[in-house]
Amino acid sequence: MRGARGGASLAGAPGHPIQEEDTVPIAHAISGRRSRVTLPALLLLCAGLSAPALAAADDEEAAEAAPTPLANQEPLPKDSTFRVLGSDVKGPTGIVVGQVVNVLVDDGGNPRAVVLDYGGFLGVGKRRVAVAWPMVRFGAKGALLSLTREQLKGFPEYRDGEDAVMATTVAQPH
Amino acid sequence: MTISRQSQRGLDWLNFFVADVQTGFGPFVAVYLTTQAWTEVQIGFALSLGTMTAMLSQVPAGALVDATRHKRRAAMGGLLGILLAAILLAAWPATLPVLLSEVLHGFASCVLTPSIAAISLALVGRAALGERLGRNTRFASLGGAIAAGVMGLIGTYLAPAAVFWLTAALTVPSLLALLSIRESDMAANVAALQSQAHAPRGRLRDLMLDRGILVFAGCALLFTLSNAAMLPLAGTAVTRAAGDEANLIIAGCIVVPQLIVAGISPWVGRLAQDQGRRVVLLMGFSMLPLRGLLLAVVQEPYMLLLVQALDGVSAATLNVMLPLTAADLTRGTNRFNLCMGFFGLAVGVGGTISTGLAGSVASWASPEMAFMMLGGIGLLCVLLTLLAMPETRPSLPADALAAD
Repeated sequence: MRGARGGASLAGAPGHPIQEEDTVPIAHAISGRRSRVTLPALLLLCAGLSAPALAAADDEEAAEAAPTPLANQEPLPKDSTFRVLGSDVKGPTGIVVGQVVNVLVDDGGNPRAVVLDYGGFLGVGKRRVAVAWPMVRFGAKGALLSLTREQLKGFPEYRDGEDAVMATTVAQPH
Repeated sequence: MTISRQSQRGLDWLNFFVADVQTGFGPFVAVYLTTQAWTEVQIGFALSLGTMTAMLSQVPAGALVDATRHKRRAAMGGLLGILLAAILLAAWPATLPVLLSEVLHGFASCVLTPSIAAISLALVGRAALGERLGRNTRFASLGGAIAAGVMGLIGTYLAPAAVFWLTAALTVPSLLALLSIRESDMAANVAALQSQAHAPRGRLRDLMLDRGILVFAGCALLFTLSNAAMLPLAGTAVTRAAGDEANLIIAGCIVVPQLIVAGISPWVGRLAQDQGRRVVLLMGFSMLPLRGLLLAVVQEPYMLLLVQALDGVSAATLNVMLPLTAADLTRGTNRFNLCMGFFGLAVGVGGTISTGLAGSVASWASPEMAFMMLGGIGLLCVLLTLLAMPETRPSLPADALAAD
């Protein structure tokens, strides 16, 4: 439709000077005869007409190349989730015993173990151990480990890329 | 010429607070970066950058301190660099600031350590240098021991960043102590040293061809190669074997050697003056193979504290003898700090290889094998000293008293 094209160019092109010649075909289409309509009224008319016209133009473009929709935005309030990596891990006594270094997941995406940098004083003597996912509870103030130092005494270290063991309590149901 | 008590005290406290400031920059940086969610690879890169910078700046920084007449200003520059490094770490743990902090700290430390030695030499001259260095080491180890305890507790119970804010705060008393050292007390010796700059120039090349310097650099390298990994490896063993008391034992393993160093270092310095350097070196270095052997066989965590006491003896030896030997071997030239830088480089190389090497051996074989290997390297160090190290004590009292 000629009017659509004209409307699109009028409303859509920034800085495009509106000429009398552009508006005439539309006025002609509406009133059916060549009449002198005031410019503001004409602009409003064109704006009103161009919206569905633009949509129509969009549909035409859509028919040519389908644009991918942007991702949905789901709200993530600040206090509803907690960061994991690097967070301090407190033992049952309330003292910081290490930091979370990694979370290991299985094929189904279920977290199986948490890898911790455990123990040490002023950075001397810290070891890397893996503990089972249920052993750690995450909260706003960091993670809570339900295993004591005594329980982790002599526990083998975790090494990336090798078979390892993760710490879990004795009466842990599968 | 009598040196004012104020300057001597100022130097004491300078050593004390500088050791405080440097304590936080050890293995604790890795813990801090972990809490900022840095990965192991990133942390390794940042720390290696710091180590590389330190190694590359050892010799140039030493040359810089030699060239300047104002030894105190050099020390001040070093302290300000470390202050900035601490603030960057505490306030802004993003990638670029941390890398900048590591580079800054590496360079600043390489300027600070020789400056303090240069100030010591300028204050007391060669005759009393051994004892003065012993006193430096005493105050430094006291500072290190107290700082290790306090910062360890802060790191555990407060935020890790607090450790670096404390570090930044502690540069203030360091600067005050530095400023209380009187320029006038140092002037005569500095002038004498600088006049030797026009003597046959000791370039780095000439320095390296001196047998005493080469041998001692080799000893320093072997020493650190043997020594540096012993505490971290033992610390890991303690964390593995001990339960609740692990932290206490490790704190003890850090603090006990420091206290021993504080106790014996002035005596070590006096011994080096009276009996000669070789005796002291052999005594101190022979602790290394003994310690390696004991760490391999001792399993009981509390016994480790006794073994670490040996660490105190060898640490006191190296800390006193390194600057002393550098001073001895550069007599007559203005290359004291260049030599210190060269020795510092040897120490840096040894330390860097040590932890990597020992860690690998501990993984492939066992920690016991790693300790035996470290002890073996210590034995090499002793042999090198025994067979190749010349006695560097000035032979005639008249020689030593001349302020050269």
